[in-house]
Amino acid sequence: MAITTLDGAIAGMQPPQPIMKVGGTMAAVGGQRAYTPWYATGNPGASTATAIGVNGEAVTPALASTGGRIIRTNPVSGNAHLARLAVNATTTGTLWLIDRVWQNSGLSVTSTTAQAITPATIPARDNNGTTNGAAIMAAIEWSAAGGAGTPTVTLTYTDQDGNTGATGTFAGVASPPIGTFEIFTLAAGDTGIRAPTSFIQSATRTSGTMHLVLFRVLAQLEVTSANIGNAVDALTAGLPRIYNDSVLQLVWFPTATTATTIGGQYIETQG
Amino acid sequence: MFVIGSFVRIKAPFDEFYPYVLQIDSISETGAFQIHGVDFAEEHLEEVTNGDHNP
Repeated sequence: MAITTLDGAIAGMQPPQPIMKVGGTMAAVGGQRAYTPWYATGNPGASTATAIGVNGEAVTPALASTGGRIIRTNPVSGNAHLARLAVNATTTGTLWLIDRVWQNSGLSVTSTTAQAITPATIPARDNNGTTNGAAIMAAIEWSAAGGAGTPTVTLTYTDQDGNTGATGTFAGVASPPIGTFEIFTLAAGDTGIRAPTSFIQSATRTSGTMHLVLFRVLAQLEVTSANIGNAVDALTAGLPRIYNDSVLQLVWFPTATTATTIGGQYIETQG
Repeated sequence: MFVIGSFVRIKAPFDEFYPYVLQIDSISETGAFQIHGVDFAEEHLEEVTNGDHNP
């Protein structure tokens, strides 16, 4: 039975999961640019980079590459929702909690020609619990530090309504540290990505290892003072649905390049 | 080969975001041509000759 009351949300509370991720840094603070502690040590521990290849894979907890996910279990019956996300950080910034739905590997960091993607289908975890791509966003995530080069990077994709050939872009940062998370815009009128189909850079990024990641934002939390916590709960987060087999990951939008440690707690309610 | 100061158009697919005639500002350490802080490889640029600056 679905959770429709505050009593229902309270009754379905699951054990809190602790979060503590150490020492994330940024090359430079900029628009569309964030940092993920996906590969950082802490609790949960670091993830290992996928080696699936350019065509990618739907991300589930069963993948060996998802060891850095925030631990959760699927409900025995009913639905799961975010009940509380609490965070403190050693610097100020803004945190996203995301569901990592798709990832790839093997993109060339030096190529300046189009790299075709015949993508594995995303899992049924878009905003509506389908594979259509509603509210699914895309980013380039660095699992090994990148090199020199500040190209424009363009992703061609099929949008949430099935229209092909849409494009999104970002301006790459020079020498991105591991964990750098560069987020693509979407084409005018688009609100999600169903399938990435091609990737191209206007110039080389010289070195490093990067991955295309598709994700859905579940919650946002502002940290306006260093070392002072903040939280959202089921009500203030808008009771976002956590679909079965979601792979939860943090994305941090810093206000400075200072190394930042993030602590916190994740609580889910089910019913 | 372009030089600093060359007028160029940027080819597809990047022309969607840079639809104007632009001037090369510098050459980066990787050998890319920099325009407004963004790197472009030579194959993504098209030289604009004198009198052809207005698309």
